[in-house]
Amino acid sequence: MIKYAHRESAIHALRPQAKLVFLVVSISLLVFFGREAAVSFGFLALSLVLYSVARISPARTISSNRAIFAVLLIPFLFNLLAFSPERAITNAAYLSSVILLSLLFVMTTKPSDFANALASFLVPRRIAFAFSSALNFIGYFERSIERTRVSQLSRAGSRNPLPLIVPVLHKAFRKAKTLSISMESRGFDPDRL
Amino acid sequence: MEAVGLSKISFSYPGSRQILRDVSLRIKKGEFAGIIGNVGCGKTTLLMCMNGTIPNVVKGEFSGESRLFGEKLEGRPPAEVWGSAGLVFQNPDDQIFAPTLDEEVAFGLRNAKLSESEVKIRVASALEFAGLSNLASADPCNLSQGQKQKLCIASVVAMGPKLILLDEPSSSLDNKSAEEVYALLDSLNKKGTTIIVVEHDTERLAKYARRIIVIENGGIALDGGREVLASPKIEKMGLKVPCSVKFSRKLGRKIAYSPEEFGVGKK
Repeated sequence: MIKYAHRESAIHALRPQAKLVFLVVSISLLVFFGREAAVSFGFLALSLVLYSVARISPARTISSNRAIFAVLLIPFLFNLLAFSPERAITNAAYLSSVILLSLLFVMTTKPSDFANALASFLVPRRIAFAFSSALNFIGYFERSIERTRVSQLSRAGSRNPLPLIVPVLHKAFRKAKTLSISMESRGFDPDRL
Repeated sequence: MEAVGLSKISFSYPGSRQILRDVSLRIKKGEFAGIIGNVGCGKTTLLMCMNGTIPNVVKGEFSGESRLFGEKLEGRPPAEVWGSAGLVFQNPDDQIFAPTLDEEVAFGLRNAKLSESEVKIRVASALEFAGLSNLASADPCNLSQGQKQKLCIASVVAMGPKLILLDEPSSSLDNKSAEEVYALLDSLNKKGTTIIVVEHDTERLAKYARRIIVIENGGIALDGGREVLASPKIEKMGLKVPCSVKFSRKLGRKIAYSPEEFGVGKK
């Protein structure tokens, strides 16, 4: 699940601004130098160390986000067929590092801290709040898709993902409507952000 | 003093039939009132008129005047009246959005621009009140439905409102969880908070509410003390009559409104 996971760890306790800067710098380095095997594998090893410090299992993270990692197969096969196995593996390590580091940031930073970190870098509060709220909704979407899929399969539904779209969107709109009223009744006013 | 004052409220959602028709209602400060009625009769809509969600957030054809603690609600959205009224919806899953319980409770307090130390104190106190202190850092998705409902109540209680409005708080709860939720509401009411609950569970209302308002076709059909639940109209409308009322009638005894009053559990 792409959401905050509370642990008593040094990484969770770090200032969100520091984590955000580290993430941006790491991804920038990977984008510019990721084709070097040493850089890609170095960052992959670093991300595994950071997961261990954060007390989050990388295996479980990969398993629960397998759809994202499955997409990596496309560039992997492309590189394998068009270039060389070395390049395919290096590229996979580079993309995996980007995804693992991004997920680690999300799993160790509370959305409200994320919003505050963005705001401290002069990102408008409205946009920062929209970002952190969107992060909260990812987990909700994942759960909603899973429940709807199981419900449809139990009624002899097919594995076709298209029939999922309407009920999941309907639920998401209903949640968004109720949530917005609930947030307003707890003093939330977007105009004051 | 009057907590809620509705005068000749009528409302219809855009493109829909009229949901509320000329409803006038006064609820005093400190009351524990229950609103019952059949599905689609306008109970939830009435609740949303009480804190200004209608007409300020949910739009439609609205007429009449709604007041909260004597102040007009028109033009004052719920974000402005949070200190006076808190609203808890039927489905906790639709309201909870934070990754941990303490963040969920802190949301409203941070909107109120309270200091972080004050937020911490209030969060701890609200979670303790709801019996969720040991789960402060847990993910709300992993809570039981009863715990989620308690979390929603805690996040409203933390704001310290004088009135709490709840839409069917026990609809998806087992008996034990529902009893726990109502015990929380009862303790708040005893401390002076006005409680207004839309509910299907007449057993629970018979035990806790001291005023019952019955809605039928967008208007108030009955309004009074718990004796309303023993009215023949309740059965005619297809609403559930509390078991203790039925047993009392069968046995020709004085009407009891809860198993405790009936004598269940007494030796």
